[in-house]
Amino acid sequence: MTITNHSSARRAGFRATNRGIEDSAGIAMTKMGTRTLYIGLNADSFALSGTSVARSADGLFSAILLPDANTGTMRTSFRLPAEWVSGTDLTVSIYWKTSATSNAAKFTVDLGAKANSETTASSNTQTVTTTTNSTASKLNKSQVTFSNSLLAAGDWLGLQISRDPADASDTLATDLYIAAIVVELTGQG
Amino acid sequence: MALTSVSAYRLAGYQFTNDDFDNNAEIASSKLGTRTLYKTIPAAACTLNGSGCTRTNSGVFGGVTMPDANDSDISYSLRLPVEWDSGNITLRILWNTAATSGDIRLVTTYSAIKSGEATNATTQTVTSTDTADGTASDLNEITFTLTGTNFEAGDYIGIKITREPANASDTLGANAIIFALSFEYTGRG
Repeated sequence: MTITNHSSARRAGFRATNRGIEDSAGIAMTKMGTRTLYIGLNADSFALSGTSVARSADGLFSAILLPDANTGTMRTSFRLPAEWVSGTDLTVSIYWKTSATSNAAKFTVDLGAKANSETTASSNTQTVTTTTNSTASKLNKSQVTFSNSLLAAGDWLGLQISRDPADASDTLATDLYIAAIVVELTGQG
Repeated sequence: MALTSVSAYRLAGYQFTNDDFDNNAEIASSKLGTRTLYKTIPAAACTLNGSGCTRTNSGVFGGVTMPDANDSDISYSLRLPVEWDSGNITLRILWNTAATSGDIRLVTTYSAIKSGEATNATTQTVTSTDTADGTASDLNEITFTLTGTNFEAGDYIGIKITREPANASDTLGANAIIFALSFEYTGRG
């Protein structure tokens, strides 16, 4: 990015002062803009629990099998990025596939946002029910959003995703594979 | 930060040209200062070694058990973030235990190399201890300082975290769960 004058510097978010004795402007850098940050979490990032819940290769993708026969749960831990902009929400996207061509899967997503000396309990729970693509094995996306009020700079995040196929809202009636989990948030710079 | 002269911009790392007909300097914004950044690795993503060293969870946090019965270690490989701008790196490890007293002792061994160098090249070892929180299963943080002069831009880092519960400095007397490794560094931009 080339800033050529005061007005372009201001549009880019810089405070522009002119305290130098030469011809150039003095530009105070107080803002660098924001952008969406993505944290990709693959199958190996998770501790798994539940009968038949397992890592699996699915074509070129490493995946996690969540069976239709029983509850399956996956959990991981990471840190809220330093670039996170306070006051902005956090979104969790679940990319999954199944051989079914109709009906829906339901996911329960728990987020723990904690500091040192705090518990490992959930801070908040969200659920999402998504109808599968009518073509077998096409990638589906389920998404939940957690409020920024749960988050503080420097927090450690525990993320738990579970599927209870016995839940009345889960009508898929077949196994599904989690291809990726992506955490999206707004970051500075 | 207010930059009020051409020399100040140069010192801050900006490319500075003046090929316009007006009196303003054109500043290519190729550098925006530095800030603390994190690179986080879920412990579950590491390679595990040792009897009883397995993926597990505590609440909604996924992690890896480092047992009290025998030695264990977890290891990972990563590339030094391109934003790293010299200086020491603080490795902060999140952990918990059912114990309400006693110390855990962990050893961090790492090597930073480039293509053409041996993976068993010069290694560095840092040892640290941390006292368990007074409430069972609450989160704890143990920190290590990784000396900045051991790294060069573009390095690949191999890192291993070892617990030797028989060491006299490890008085925890219980299993520990390691959740995540956070590398804190001064990064550009």
